[in-house]
Amino acid sequence: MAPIGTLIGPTVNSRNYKARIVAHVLGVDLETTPSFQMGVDNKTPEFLAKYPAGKVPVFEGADGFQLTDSSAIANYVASKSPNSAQLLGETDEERALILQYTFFAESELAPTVAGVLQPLLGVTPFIKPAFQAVEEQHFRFLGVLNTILLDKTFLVGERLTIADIIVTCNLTMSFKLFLTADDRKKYRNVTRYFKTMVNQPAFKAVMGNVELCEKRVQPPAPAKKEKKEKKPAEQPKKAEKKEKPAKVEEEEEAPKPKPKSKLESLPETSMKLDDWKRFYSNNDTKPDAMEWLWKNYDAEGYSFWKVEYKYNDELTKLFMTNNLIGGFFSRLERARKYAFGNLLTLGKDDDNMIWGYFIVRGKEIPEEVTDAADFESFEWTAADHTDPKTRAEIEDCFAWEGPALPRECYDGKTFK
Amino acid sequence: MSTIGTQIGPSNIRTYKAMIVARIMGIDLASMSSFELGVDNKTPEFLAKYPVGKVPVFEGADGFMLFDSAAISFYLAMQSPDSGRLLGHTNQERAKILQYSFFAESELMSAATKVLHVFFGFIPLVQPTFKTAEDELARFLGALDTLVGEKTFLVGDRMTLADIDVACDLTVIYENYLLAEDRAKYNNLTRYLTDMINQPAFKEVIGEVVYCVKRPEGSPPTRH
Repeated sequence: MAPIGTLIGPTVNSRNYKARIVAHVLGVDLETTPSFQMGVDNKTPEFLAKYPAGKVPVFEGADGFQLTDSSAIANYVASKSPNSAQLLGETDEERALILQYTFFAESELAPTVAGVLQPLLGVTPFIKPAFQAVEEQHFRFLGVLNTILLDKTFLVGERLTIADIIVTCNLTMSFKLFLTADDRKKYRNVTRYFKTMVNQPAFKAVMGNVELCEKRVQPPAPAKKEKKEKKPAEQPKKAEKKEKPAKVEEEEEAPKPKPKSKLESLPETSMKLDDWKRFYSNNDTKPDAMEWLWKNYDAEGYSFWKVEYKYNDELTKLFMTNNLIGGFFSRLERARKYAFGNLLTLGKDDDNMIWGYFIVRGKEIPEEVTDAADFESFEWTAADHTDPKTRAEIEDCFAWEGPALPRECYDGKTFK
Repeated sequence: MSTIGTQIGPSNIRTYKAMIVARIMGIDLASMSSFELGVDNKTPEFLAKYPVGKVPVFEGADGFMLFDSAAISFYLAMQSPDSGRLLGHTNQERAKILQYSFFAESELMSAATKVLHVFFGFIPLVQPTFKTAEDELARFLGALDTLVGEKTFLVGDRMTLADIDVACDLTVIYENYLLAEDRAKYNNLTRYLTDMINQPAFKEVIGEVVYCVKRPEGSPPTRH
């Protein structure tokens, strides 16, 4: 059977899993995009012309049919099978209950999962009263599900339906990063249900093993406050497993319309930033891309800046540090046209730093950058790219490796 | 035709959805003459049947119980022999209708609620959070404005459940939040909504919709 189409979006993502689990259960052939780059591939003009909300996953059928929304896609994939009723329901009542749980999962549950995890992972600012309100709501919905699941193996009827697939996928990030063993005991029916689901062959085939949260992610240290005393250097070795970088799963957002920038009135420059970004993306950084940059760099039209986080001693887990960079970059959205940079997460768990370099249009830090909510948490220092030491640092920074980095590189993010 | 069941909940955009569906499909849907929000949906009997505690809910003449306004309106539409008219005739139409309904319920409404609940005083104004919600809402309205474009209806050439869901959700945003200058930013969408609320079924259920002239008291100042 030829594939019915392609599910476009990052493959390690619980929204992406839904349609693939459906395809697996019903034997529908569905293509995926394992090399999808979040924040890049869903920001191109071509993508946004087709899918204006800029969110992923989206679906493009072999016949050209275009669809957005992970749950709508999962439903459509199911509808392509002659056995669709197995997952979509046999009667009006089953179909309605399946929709009921799907809407509950999408409009009630999912916003609270995102609402709890985004501030903890540093994607949005951590504001305690707002966090507590959403946390309370999240627990309330878990309580509701716990009641509903008291005497049920599956949500609707006596077998797996798409409602189970969607609810389970929407719960996954909470079980992985938020719900501790104590919480799981409290919501034992939900936990039993979740474990049963993720152990079904179709779930396992798509998601692999789901490891339940051992220690809840803690909010990043508040950025704008007096520095705390340095933690004692001798920290008890944490027995926990090595945590993988947590990807935040809110469907990625489209840029909003940009107001006219002052930078548009600067004299023309010989180097188009887009050309650099393209060359950087498509070539080895060292030596090819860097040679291109030094050859084409317009020192009149651009400036280099060293960027360092002001509160390195408050950083904890490496993956959280890296998420903090991602959060900062998403708030730099307005600067996308005028800036390029790399910020790296250097060091190890509980002892790491954010360090990197930016190229920006003009000789000053533009308003598009200073306007970002957490701009003040970073030190921006003008850098002289003609100085050999600085130049070596820039090269290694953009390459994410090399002797000029102040510490070993764990991960990083490119702002382009 | 005897009644199919009762929709339980106060009169608001969430109950309107099923009422508009019933009106279009000629289905006899009973409603509660009086419902006290925060009281009638908090009784132990209510919560035993509908643990989420949210309204509206549906109780069929046959005892079938359902919660969630969008799910209820889908269920009602299914009860008509002509259900394809609102729910779509092909897999692709059905999928598109779901796409818009999920978008309206989970993206648009979740952003709108975060903004409107501050206006209504349900949640405190926390500035960075509020600004994020406002930006998000603006982005979703912008995306919808693009999607609507020159279209009269969201899916195909006639009104579907997607239009009922989306238009009902937009109504609350247009009544309470979007001022004339905001509405001008979403020309396609404003035109689309104005068409919808003037459809006979909408008019009969919702009545006259008055777009926002002044935001509710205690609203945070608009940023420009």
